[in-house]
Amino acid sequence: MILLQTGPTFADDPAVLRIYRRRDHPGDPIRGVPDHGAFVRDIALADLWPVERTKAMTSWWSGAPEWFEGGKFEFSPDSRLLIVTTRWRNVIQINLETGSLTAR
Amino acid sequence: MLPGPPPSHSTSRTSAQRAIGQRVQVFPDLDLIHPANGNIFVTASAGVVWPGRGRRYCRTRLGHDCRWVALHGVAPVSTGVVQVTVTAFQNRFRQYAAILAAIRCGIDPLHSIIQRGKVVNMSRLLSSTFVLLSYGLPTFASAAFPCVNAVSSNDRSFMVLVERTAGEDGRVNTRESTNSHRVSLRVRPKETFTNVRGNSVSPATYWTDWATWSVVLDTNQMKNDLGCPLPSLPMMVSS
Repeated sequence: MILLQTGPTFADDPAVLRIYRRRDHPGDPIRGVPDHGAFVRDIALADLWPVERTKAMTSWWSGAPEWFEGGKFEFSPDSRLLIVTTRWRNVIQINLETGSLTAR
Repeated sequence: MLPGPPPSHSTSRTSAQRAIGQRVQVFPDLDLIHPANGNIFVTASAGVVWPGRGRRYCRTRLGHDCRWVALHGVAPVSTGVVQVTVTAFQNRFRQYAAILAAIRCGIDPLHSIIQRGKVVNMSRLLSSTFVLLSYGLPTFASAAFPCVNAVSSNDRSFMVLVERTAGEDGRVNTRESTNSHRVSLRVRPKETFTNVRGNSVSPATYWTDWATWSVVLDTNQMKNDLGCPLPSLPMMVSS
């Protein structure tokens, strides 16, 4: 599960994407222990955007485009990777199990 | 009711240009420019002048206390640019909310000009205008992201339901509710109706009434969104 930040976004925000996954060991249904999933990683804007674009992002206003506007999100066929394409067409692969990033 | 997002506008008009020549009383064209340095610049209708400097204390219709707002605003009649400096906030969402709250607290800048006989400070006018133009050149803009309460997975086999507990104002799942205590994101699988009597032949998609797993968010520890009571929406779900 990936949470996508909308609204005010700054280069120094700790996360624009927040990744969770189901636990390897599910909760205990007999005793009613819920499976609240596992936090994987926060992805910051600096992890996705080109450096020069991040540095240039000094302001936000109510009509500003969302940070992901003009870009694209895709899952790999096996759903293990999230492929983020920014509006400048640089592509980042995020491993949803580990949170590791790979520029493509 | 808080003002909605500003209308979409083309690239040919800056915020300052939109403000010039307009005469409206309750900031229908409210626009916020939020540099990372902590200052917030509010552009609104022509003739806007905040009735003084320093702290303002007021309470909004929703009960949000905006007493932390320090308004340092003198805006020229000709441009309607207001500089607002906000201090002592926990996060940016509260900054934004405070600004909106202050604006909705019945401050009537035009009236204040007349009553108090404020004199426009030209140096502030120039600096405010400069900063506004520096920051206020939208390349493209659109409406705010909608609030959603459910999203399906990439392969449509799961659905995530957003469940919010009521905040202090008693509201849930509304744009106006900004203080939900807890948000649960519950992942529910598709109901397949195998080996049951009266097997459905409907083309509709059914979802179970139990969650396979969930994520619980503490909204007090997360950055909040402007439009929705949940910090980060929408979600993408990979199954």
